[in-house]
Amino acid sequence: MWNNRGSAQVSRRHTLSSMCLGFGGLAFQSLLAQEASSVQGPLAAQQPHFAARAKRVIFLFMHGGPSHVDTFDPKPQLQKDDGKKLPFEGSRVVFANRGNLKASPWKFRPCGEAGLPMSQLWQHLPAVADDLCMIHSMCETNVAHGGACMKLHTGDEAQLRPCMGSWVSYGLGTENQNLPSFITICPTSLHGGIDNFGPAFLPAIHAGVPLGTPGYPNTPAKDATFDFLKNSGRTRLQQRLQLDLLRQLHQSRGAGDTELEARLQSFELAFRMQTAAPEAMDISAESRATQQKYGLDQPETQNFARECLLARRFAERGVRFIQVSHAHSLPFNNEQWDQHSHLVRGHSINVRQIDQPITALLTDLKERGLLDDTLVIWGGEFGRTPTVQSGKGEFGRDHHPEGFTIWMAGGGVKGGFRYGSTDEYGYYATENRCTIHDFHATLLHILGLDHTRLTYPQSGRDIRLTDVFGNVATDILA
Amino acid sequence: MHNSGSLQPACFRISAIVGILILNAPRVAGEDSGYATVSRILAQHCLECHGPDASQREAELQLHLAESSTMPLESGQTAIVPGHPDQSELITRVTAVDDSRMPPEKSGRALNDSEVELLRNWIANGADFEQHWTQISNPTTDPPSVKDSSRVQQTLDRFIIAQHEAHSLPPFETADRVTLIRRVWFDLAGLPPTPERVAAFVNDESPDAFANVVDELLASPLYGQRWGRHWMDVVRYGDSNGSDENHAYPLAWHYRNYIIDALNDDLPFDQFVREQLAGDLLTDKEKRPTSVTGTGFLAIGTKILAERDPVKKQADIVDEQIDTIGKALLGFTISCARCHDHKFDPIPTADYYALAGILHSTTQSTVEVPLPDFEQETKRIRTLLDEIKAEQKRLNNQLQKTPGAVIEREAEDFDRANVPRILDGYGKGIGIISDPGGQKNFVEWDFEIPQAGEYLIYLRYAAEASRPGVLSLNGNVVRNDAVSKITGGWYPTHQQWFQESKTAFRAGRNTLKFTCEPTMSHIDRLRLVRVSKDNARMLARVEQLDRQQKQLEKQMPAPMKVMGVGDRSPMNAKIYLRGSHLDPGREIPRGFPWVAAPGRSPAPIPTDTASSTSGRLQLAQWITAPQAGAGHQLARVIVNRVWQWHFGRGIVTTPNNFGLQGALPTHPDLLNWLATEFIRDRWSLKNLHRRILLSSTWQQASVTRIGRQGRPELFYGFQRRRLEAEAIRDTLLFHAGRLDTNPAKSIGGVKSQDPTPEDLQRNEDVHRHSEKRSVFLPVVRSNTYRFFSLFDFPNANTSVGRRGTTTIPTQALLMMNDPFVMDQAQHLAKRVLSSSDKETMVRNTWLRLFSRAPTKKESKEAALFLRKYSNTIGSENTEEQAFIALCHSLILSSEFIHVE
Repeated sequence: MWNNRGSAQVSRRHTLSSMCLGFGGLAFQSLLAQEASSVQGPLAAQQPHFAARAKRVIFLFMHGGPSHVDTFDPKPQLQKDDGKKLPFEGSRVVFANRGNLKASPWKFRPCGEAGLPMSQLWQHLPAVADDLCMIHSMCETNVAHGGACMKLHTGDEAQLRPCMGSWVSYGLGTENQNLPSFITICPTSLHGGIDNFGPAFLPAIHAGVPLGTPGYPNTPAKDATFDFLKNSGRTRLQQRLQLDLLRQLHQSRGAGDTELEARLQSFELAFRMQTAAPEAMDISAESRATQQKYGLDQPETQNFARECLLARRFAERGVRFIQVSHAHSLPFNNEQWDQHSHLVRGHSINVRQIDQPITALLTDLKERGLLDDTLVIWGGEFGRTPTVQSGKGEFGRDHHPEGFTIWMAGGGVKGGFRYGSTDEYGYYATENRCTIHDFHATLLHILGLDHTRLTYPQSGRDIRLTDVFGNVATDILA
Repeated sequence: MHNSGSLQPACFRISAIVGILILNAPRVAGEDSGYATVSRILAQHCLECHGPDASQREAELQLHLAESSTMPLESGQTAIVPGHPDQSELITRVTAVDDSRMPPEKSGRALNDSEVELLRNWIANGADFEQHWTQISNPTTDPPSVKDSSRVQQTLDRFIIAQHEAHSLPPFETADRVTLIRRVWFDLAGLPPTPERVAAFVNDESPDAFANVVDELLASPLYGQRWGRHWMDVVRYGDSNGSDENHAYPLAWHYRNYIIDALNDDLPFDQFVREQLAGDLLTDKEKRPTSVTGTGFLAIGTKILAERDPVKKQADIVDEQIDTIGKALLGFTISCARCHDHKFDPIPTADYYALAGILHSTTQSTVEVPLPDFEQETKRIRTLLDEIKAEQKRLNNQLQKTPGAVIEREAEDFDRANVPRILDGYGKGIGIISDPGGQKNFVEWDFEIPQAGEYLIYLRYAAEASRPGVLSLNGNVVRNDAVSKITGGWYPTHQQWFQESKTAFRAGRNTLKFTCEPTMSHIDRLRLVRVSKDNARMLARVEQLDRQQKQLEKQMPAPMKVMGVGDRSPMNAKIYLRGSHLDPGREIPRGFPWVAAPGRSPAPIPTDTASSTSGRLQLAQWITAPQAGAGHQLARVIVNRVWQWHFGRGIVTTPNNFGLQGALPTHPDLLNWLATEFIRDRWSLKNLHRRILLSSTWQQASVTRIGRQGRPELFYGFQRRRLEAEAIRDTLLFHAGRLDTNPAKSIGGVKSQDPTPEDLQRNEDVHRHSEKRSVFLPVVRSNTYRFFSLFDFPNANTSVGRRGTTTIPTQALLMMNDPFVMDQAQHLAKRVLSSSDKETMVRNTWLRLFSRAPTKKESKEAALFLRKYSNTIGSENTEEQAFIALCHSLILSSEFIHVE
């Protein structure tokens, strides 16, 4: 019915997933990362299409839309023309009323040997500037949060499509069969909510598993757990007795039935996960020095520090795709980075919360030799306008999907590198425009996947993450 | 292909029809046909660039058409030379080892050897292009004869048994009675039978025993609740808009209950469909009071409500509707044609925009449903109110005529005040007073009273909001909260009389004063009515009438409001080039997707946009018309769904896609025959159920149960099925003795928009603590109840024709650890615990859960478990705790979650 490759892959996966084997297949014997040619099942590690630069992804999602002209994309002309009218036509569709050009209140300085510009907001990150690859020409999400978040995560703002983490899980499987292949730490329930980490029509096994109930604001990291991992009434021994009875009943009625046998094994795997997951989440196993390095000891950084440290622990254990969300609310703005007003206060708080944890994450990964094959991505669903948002109160900026900055690190991308640019005011992406489809194509390429070949049949079409678009930004590859 | 905007729909249809009426006489693509497979290979590998989509076509070659494929191309080569694969450029190209190879290497769609071989054989045998099976306009189908007719219980069995015989398969066993009654209960009611019902059926020796069970279940409201949920999958039912901001749809549940009622009433399916597309527009003859509720079908889809681009927003809404209409009703992925002509099926972009025009002429709205009860009750109360008002008027006239009984004056003729007179706008035609905006307002009127005594003080005013003040007489407060009522607005039409006080007036001058701040209602008139012996009875009656009036007004029923659609000024849509709303092309007259009705000429939609209708009614009539429209396809699609819901597998296994990329029917003749009979049977779903359930095909034994090899694609043997999420939950509640099957009449206390973790926990708790049948729980898009989503509950963002069945460890975690499951195990245990001895308790539990007694070995294992488990507990109630754990374990078992 489908093409050959698709048919073999899909039918095998369908069969196996309907037979069970859940988070991962038959590899009960191993708790830690295992490159698994021997492992079977829908989440068995798969060969990429070609040599991969990175094996896994940590996506640091900045909910609300950080301002590029105040963080990483300095615009001298904007500083000069503060208060003047935008000298060319602005976006056709806007979110809020927009005023004149507004200079950034922060000064920029070159950082690292490469001299990557960063605003004074960043105190820690300059230390790893030479690891960062800036993409300044991101564009074409959507002017509203919902559409933009969904486009960023799934490639489409209106139709329900699998998110990038699910595609990666589908394409590569995972290295640890006792943990989910795709974990999203403290996700928000807003703007697409679970659809932003959902598998849509891909097999359910590729769903992002939330650590912490998705919510608005999101669950504090210290309270975040996986669902149904603990039993309120039965001991481990008692549960063991239950599973033994299941085995006996199975033998009396379903012996030789592979489908039922597989179901029985899913119970055994669940039983083991009850141990494996808490172990992975136990950050008390980390040294005090490590905890301090991330900022776990300071009130302002402790939440995001914990998320980042958990991300590293999951990465170490072979989880394929890890999303970390910076998605609380601030007293004066609903979404973390959504500074329609109070830009100075809001962005200052936001950067303080993440600056040290992210820097620690990058250096920690590097020290453990993990940064080489881990792709770290930082970014939000859009940037913010170089113009001021008209309104009362302290000044802010509107949503801006026409040109903004996302950065990558590790995973075979050039460090200390700037790719693409926006115009002299930071309004439109100009040189090397990187649409969301291009971004997704590049992400998959780094993982060794050809975005035009990673497809799944749906509604009579082979659907892909990049729809019918997408060009790999080869310039950023080291 | 379509070059003129001025053509009528039928005309460009003709040119498109040529695209698929092929050289040879129509023939159903059966199993042995080479082209059925070949057409799929071509579709998958070649048609993207050499197919129906004119915009992507290369070399003017159309490999889905015999004519184009067999004519010399510009290059001089001929793609297909019938009978001569070696002369066919197609074979040369797909086997080439150089740059000329097709498809190009970059596409990653190269053919493998066996595919090339199939193509080669097909060309060698004459390259017979056949019509796709859905495109044959009058499929004639007579039931085949079978050698062994002893097993034919229903005519449909002939189609199945004939295939079994053709494959030399011996007759398959019939299911035992316990399996049958369990199977039919889960199938029609979504619940297990009680042990008593099982026993009654097993012991009923009458030949109609099973038919009686079927009839009883079809007559039960449980049937509509179970099968309504199936339809809800297809129409992507949800109680919130999902996606970006997830606003609640507080009225969507009416549509859900409408579906359930329609199924329980066995509403003819064609009418069911007409109501869902155009329930607001149906002719009086066909309209039912609740017909309009059906249009929820078009209204409840996901929408990106926060989309800032109104053109895109509307285009996306229409696209979502077209996608649903295509998949749910017609079995075609019409929405593929939004950006380009369909790559595989004969759906030109123009057909998409013809349909889009109809939906662009439709608006979503809250609609009042004129229920007969409501209308009757309203009429009854109105009549009574009219009587009261007439009497009030009569009494007033009488009072007015009594000398000195009534003193009236205009409010704006005050004696002293700091408020303005308003003679326009709010006071137009009557003259009123109100505040000038934020001050201490006061107004005084002097009255010359001829005789001391008690008077009733009335004020007439209009108020959209309550603005009470102090009323005093001669400096004494008579009322602190005067003029406090709300009348529904500020305008003269909202003016009403209210009695404010009953107070003693002195003879001579009296000063009535009203003060309030900062704002004041719109006061029009004052009236004093003297209370005296003469008019006491009259006044008492007036008061009584006032009370009655108020009471009656309270009783006035609120109309039922539902989420539906209505017409707006009709418009034709323009083709959005490559689907982009920023790039509009030529205008397309409104019309229908002819792919679903090959060879038919549709009833015309008035193309004049100045005419008053959207064309939705014509669409509804066309879709359901077996002869003149897409009715036969509609019937095939629903019959296939019903078959699938009974067997776990459709005759076409891709129920939402009958097109070239969908699966071929395993039994096309059966499907056509069932569709024809279904239409002849006045589209009765209940009769269709009877046909299927009373067939020997459906009553075959379970393949896994009896351990025999089955052939799913031949419906040889019955395939075991896992219960759906709702059936699992309902069955748990049923065994716990807590299941509430009364319809829910609200969205049910969940929060969808901007939920905090606490809100989400509350949503989860609403579900977890609810005893309502699952179909009545709200479907919060993007936040489906975890129990449901883990067990493959459909994502309500798009039409789902067939649910997945996964087995993943998170399901196991849920079944082991979810307090809801553990609670139900406890309730079940308590219901069984009252039985006398342990062995009987175990036996009764088995009978309830599995409709059978435990085997000896199972009893032994259960006893062993109880003993071992008790030993792990130090405290009291060890036996009870152990028994609860046993019940919980049995709920975890495979037998609990499967139907044989």
